[in-house]
Amino acid sequence: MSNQPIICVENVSFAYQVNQDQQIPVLQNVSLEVYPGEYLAIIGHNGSGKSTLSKHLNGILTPLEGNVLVNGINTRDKGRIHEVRSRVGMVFQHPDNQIVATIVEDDVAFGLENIEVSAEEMKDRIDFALDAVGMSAFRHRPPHHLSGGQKQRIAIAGILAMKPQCLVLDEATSMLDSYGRQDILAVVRKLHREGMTIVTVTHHMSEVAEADRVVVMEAGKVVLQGTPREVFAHQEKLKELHLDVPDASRIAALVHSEYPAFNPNLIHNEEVVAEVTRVQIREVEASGS
Amino acid sequence: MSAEFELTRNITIGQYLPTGSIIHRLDPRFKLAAFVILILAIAVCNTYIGNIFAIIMCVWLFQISKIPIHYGISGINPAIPFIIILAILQLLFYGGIANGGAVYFEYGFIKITSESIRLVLVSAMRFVEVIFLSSVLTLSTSTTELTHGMERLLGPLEKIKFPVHAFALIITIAIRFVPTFAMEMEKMMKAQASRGADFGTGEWWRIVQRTKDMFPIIIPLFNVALARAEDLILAMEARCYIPGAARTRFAHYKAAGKDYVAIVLSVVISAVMLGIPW
Repeated sequence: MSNQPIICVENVSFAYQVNQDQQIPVLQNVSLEVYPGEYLAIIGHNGSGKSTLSKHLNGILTPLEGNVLVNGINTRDKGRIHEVRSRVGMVFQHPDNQIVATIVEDDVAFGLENIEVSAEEMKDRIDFALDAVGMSAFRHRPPHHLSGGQKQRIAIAGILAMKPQCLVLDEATSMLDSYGRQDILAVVRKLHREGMTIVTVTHHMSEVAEADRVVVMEAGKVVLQGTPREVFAHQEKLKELHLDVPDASRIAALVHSEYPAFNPNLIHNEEVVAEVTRVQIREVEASGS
Repeated sequence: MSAEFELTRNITIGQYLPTGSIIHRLDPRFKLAAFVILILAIAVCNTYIGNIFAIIMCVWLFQISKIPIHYGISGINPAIPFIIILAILQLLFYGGIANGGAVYFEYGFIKITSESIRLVLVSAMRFVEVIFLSSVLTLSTSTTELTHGMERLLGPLEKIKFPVHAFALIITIAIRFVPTFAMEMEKMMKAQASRGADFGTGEWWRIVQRTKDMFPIIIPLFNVALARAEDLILAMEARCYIPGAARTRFAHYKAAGKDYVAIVLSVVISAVMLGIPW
């Protein structure tokens, strides 16, 4: 990954205040960098602090200790919070709870109105954003006639219109059916290809396999990070953390334990097929000679 | 029975009926202003002829907006009990308070005069006019246009620190969440009914019992509403919303000749209504 990180999380600790003398620590001394153009997945089981971490990335939460810098701007700087939030957009879990307007295009305009974009430019940006998520045909519809996946695409369009550098998806696919999820993943994949930095918080391992880098959280700390292949190689450790691995990795590891020549470090289904073919050919060659 | 749970099927917020008439195409700011002028005139006008004239005008409005009049009439039906109760109260008590007019009937404190009969008839007509007029407005204007129009009309109040935008946003969000909550309520009614709860089967006059029946729905509904509100706040903040901060507007309206004509017409109609002496 190139040059300067977009987001720097430096030794961040955070706790939810229960009452005056009781706190629940959620993040403990977390450090993390997000680089331009990368696709980063944050995983962890419920309560590991992954969602809290993601809410720090655009200043919705500010750290108790440590700093979060977005393009060098500290998220504690209330005067520049607009800059932070228009650079790092965030899509949330529940498709229904993030649409504010009664008409799709008005909703996409909401963020633009907040950052004081002129009316003429707004029109172009809304066209662009709705087109990017494939929802142009729905611009005059009321949102309650849309499916969950479509609503979530509108939510993404609302963020895209603000032209962010980084899109944070906070379990954005967890409330969707499988069609909706595929839709959103296709949109995210396309945006990433076009250069958008993606941070996704998820517990769907198939989404994780697509990422460039994976960060595993446990009890408010980063316990493991690396490429998906590196992370899924630690199957025992992930099992301890109550996390799944993709089916492909599990199958590869099982075959490997019976048949050591089989490569255990596979994460995509196609790779398993390729590996089976490779091993088969080798067998044939071995018996032939 | 199952129809009772199908709440989402018959929600009509913003009963917009697109016929593309000239009334539909009016600038919402001007349409709202004309509406306010006419409502004020109706509130003040207390003559028979003036009100009959107003009813004729309302029917004419239905004509030019190409909306079938039965939409307006069906709006009156639910108001009939109120009109009747109001009429009875006015008939019984108004004559005793207001002096003047010929006395037709007197018994104890009940005194029916020509003035009280006028009041009864005029109030009934006013009801009809207001319902007709608001039907035309809501049938010919989408909720989005209505809130935009209202926001612009109230715009000058921003100078005296009235939170106009916040006010419009509250209304928009309220409208936006009606279908969501209807769906939520449907889910809850089904969940409670599947565990043996009983809704709407008691006789209608047992109001207390029927209200109590609704508690297992209303309380979880509030709970859900609060949770949703919290999510919504996060999503709004993530899109740079800061209450009271300066913002630009996407929707733009440009007044044309017909909009000014509408205003002038509503002023003329009001003047005629108030000018008629009987």
